[in-house]
Amino acid sequence: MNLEFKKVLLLTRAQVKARYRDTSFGLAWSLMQPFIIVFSQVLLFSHLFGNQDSGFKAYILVGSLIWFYISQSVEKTSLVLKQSSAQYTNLHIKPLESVLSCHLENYFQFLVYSAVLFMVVMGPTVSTLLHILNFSLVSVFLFGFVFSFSYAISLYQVIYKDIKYLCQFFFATLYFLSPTFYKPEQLGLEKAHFLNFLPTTWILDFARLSIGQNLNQNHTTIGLFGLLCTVTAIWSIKTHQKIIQKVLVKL
Amino acid sequence: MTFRNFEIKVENLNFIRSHDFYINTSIKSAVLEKLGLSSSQQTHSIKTEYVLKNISFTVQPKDRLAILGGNGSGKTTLAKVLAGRLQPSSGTIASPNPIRLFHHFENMFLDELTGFESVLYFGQILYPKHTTTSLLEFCESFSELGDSYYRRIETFSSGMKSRLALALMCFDLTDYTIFDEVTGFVDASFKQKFLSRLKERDFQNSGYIYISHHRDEIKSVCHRAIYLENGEIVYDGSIEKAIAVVQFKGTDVNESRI
Repeated sequence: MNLEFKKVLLLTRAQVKARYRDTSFGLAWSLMQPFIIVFSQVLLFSHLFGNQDSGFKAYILVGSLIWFYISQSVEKTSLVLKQSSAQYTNLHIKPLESVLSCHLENYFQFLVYSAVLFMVVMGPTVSTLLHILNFSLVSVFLFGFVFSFSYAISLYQVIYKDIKYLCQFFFATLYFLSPTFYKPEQLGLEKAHFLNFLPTTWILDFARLSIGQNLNQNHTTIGLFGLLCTVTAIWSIKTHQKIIQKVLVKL
Repeated sequence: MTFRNFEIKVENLNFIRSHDFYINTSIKSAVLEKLGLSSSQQTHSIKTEYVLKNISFTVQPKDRLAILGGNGSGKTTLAKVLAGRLQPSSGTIASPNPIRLFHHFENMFLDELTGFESVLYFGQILYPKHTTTSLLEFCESFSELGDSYYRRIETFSSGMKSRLALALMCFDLTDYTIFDEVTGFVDASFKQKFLSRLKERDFQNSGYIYISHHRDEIKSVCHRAIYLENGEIVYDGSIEKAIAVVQFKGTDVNESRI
């Protein structure tokens, strides 16, 4: 195994072991937490607010799945980047490797969550090999996008502390504006049109389309997602080259 | 055990630290500055500072070099630049192999892991080519932590963390290594044990750079010294003369702490 990759895996194991020590369910907490929140949302919106649409549960689950993955990744990345300062020096780990180790845990959570979602919620409608392949491709691109985005944002956060609070505000606002809770057709044309301009809408739609029935749409989605991943990766690399020295001096 | 004989050549090394990102770190001040609305006092206080200036020296294989100097003289920055942790503003460092740096190592552990687990994970990261069993056994016996070795790091004192980290770092010294004030928390007996380890026959062919404010330590493990003042080398030569220079200038290098 590549030595650098082995280093990242060892770090991941150490972080996971430390994070879930002394908890009743260990790593299972990582998987249960989003389920509990999503379950309460489904309960709230479908029963109390009376959204009885047949696809609503699946709709909210897919949206939340992506949402938790992105927001938790951004949050954890900035935390790990700052806390691992002594490890960069003494264990000769690069910030990128440290961040990657924390993302592997999140990605594992995302994959398990996706698999459960596939089996329990979607049932036989997504059981074809092609659908699984499509979602696998999208999830790989999503990993690339989330990793690059979180890394670049976290680097900026080290220099500009305001970004942390802006991110929290931004994510909270987008979350409640996003169609995780509302389907565009329920909102009327004007509001739906507004929501279509939100980046979260695109991300959620990509995810939904990737497990949809229309194969032509799937291919476009995968292509667009690949493009999004590439553009974000380029931005992240440029950011890294531009400010990593300032960041390392500050850490 | 094989040793790498190599020479480290540092030429005209400069490290300039700009103060702009320490001052204008808020988005508000950055935007105001772009708009030309920032206060003149803040704008004018942005300046650059030479942390290291025209540093040139060569480290021969087997050289055991001490870096001396008062607080803020640039010792740690030089160590970080040599180890590749920071990029120099200008100048070159020619080294055929990577240089290890140990600095503030007691903070690298994760509180929830035990001493044993820390060695297990971090030891494999540091020494991927060594067997885990030999590493675990060495660290347990060298650190002399007894049963505490299997307790969590959060229950460790700073001295115990240092013992564990020192055991981990002196397991194998075949790479050129920089020790930056590593014995700050340990007691006298363990410090002697660590210094003896450095002088052991196995490691006599490997060089290192040792940064400390303690005269006895420096004298016992180094034979050459560089004295830094305001980021510049003011003396490069034998350890005895370097200590005399330090005493003449009236800066640090204390007697050993008991």
